Amino acid sequence: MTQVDEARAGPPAGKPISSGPPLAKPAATSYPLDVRSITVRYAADRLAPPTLRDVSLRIESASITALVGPNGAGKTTLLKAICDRLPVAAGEIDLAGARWRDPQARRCLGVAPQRPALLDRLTAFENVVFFARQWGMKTPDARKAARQALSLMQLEAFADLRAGRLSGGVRQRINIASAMVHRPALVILDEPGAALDPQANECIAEVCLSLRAEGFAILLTTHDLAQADQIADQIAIMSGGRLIQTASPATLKEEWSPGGLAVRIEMRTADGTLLEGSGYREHGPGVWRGRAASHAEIAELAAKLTTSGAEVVLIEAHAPTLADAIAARLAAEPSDQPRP
Amino acid sequence: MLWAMTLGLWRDRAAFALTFLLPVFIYAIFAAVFASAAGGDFSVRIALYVDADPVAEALALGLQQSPQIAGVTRVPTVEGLEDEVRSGRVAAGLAILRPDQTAAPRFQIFAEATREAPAVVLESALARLAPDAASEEAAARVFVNPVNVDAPMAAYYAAGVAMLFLILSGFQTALALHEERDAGVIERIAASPSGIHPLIDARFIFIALQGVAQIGVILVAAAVIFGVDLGYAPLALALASIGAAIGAAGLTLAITTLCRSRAQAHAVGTVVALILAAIGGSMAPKFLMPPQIAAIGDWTPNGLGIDAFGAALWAGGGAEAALAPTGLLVAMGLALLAVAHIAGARALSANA
Repeated sequence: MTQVDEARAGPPAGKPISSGPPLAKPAATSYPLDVRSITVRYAADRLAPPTLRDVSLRIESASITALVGPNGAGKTTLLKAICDRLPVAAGEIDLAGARWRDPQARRCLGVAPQRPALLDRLTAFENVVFFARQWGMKTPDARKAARQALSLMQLEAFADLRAGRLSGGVRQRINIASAMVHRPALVILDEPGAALDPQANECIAEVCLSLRAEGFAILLTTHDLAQADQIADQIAIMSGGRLIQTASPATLKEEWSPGGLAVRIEMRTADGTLLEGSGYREHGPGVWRGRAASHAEIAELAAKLTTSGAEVVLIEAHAPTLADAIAARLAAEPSDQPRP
Repeated sequence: MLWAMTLGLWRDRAAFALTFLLPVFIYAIFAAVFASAAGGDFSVRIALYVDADPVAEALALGLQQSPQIAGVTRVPTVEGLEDEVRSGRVAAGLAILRPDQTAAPRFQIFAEATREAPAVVLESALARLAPDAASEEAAARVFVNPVNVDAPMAAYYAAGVAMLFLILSGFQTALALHEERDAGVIERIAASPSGIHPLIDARFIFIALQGVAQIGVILVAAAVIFGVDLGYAPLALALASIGAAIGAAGLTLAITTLCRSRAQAHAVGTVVALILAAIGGSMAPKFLMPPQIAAIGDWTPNGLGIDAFGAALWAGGGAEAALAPTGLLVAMGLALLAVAHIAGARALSANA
């Protein structure tokens, strides 16, 4: 059992997870985040098609939702809309039951930007206190909450060190501690693992699971689909400004990669007639993806390709992953959607 | 390589302007400001009191036609003469007295200690008309300053340098807003319940408090090193310090938030601070400047600040005299704070 698996199974032993549930806990009938049919267009570009169209997303307490999709799909735009940083042309967003345009609703929200947004000349502790104060906490409460947040992030040893002198992974954990110090109902993490080494990234995954165990709802954007598969309860796939599917990783894999092997074929010659006939789709020049029931079926297909004169460079086959399922889901989507 | 660099400079209009146009602009300002100070043609505006006497009147008429006299304001009493000089409306004052009509006229030249050069010019003009008047017995020099007559320029430059560094260090502190934006801190704060406006207010208050402390340090240094008397009008000194700090805080924040990047704000801030120092009197007193530039300088934070400090440190007048420039500085600072809020909300969170 990996550390991530342990954390997924429950709060990891020895971790100080006793600081209580989020203070801004949603009412029994409300959700930490409830996005209903929102449309967003950038104000400077009124004639252009909307950047987000009819997006709906609901997130429950104590859950992790991974927002995935290609660059330009609208993930960051959706986060900005939730944070009231962009005008929403239509639709509604509720944060823990309150309308998102109510400044007080933002107390239910914690945001950790992709690049750690910290004041480098302040220590880790001072940074977390500073952001707690920004979210309206009184100084004594902010100091107490900052200690708890640093403890939850296992940052006690770094508390008195200046943020500017710390490594990327530690800074990212301080970044997250600053986002959850006021114990919001929803914590937004924008690509928290970007630019981190695998070990630091693993640590971020543990942090997410700890937060979930604490009762926080987490919305994270990520391109690391393996990690999303490990930790997320719900995957929200965005493409062309629309949210095209929301489901658990298991459901997505079952629906879009049922059984067999996921196959990737690279060819120098571009004639894919044979592959199209076998249910494969082109994912770039000379790159085809599809499914096969067995290795024998792949060998048979390779022989046919060679006989037909195709110059095969590479054939890969593996058990289907979430990445395969999402690739298949995205490939099934019409590509005429506007890209922001 | 050279071709690519030349093309790059030509297409980067901001860099091009900074390299070739700005130096010409700065040169023109500094040359205009300091040409007079360095000994160019120098004429002064004076106030004149004349005893009712034909000889005294004849001297007054001759003086009015002197090329060294730019203009004359007649006043009915000697006290009025002192007021005119102290207020700065004229550079120097002259009383032509002839109580004994059988004797030669006597002269009193009224000067403000930080503006002694005009008194020298007036003496020179007088000597051409009446060579005997140049003697110390005939022409007495009277300083109108109620305080710091012995160290007038040390007092003046305490105010001038304080204004220059209030603005320079204000820009330096305001630049942190761009650093915070680049680090993503502004984006994060923009998502908080209060948004970024409290951040701008806090920065404004911080720059103002830092400014008051900075003025305090400079004044203490002036007192300790040069013996500048700070006790003449403490209330005026306090008012001037607060007004100057608020004005500088608003100015530096507004310009910083109007700039798109830290580099731009740094360059613009430095240039603005130097120009304001030159025309506002931080580098050389305004009476040395051409009248048009001096008139503009009167409305700069440096000019207003120096006027406000003057009420406490050399020209006198106390809190009453300091009120008007202090009020203008505070109004300027608050108006520019409003500009900073508008510009900051748009520019600082543009990437958020």
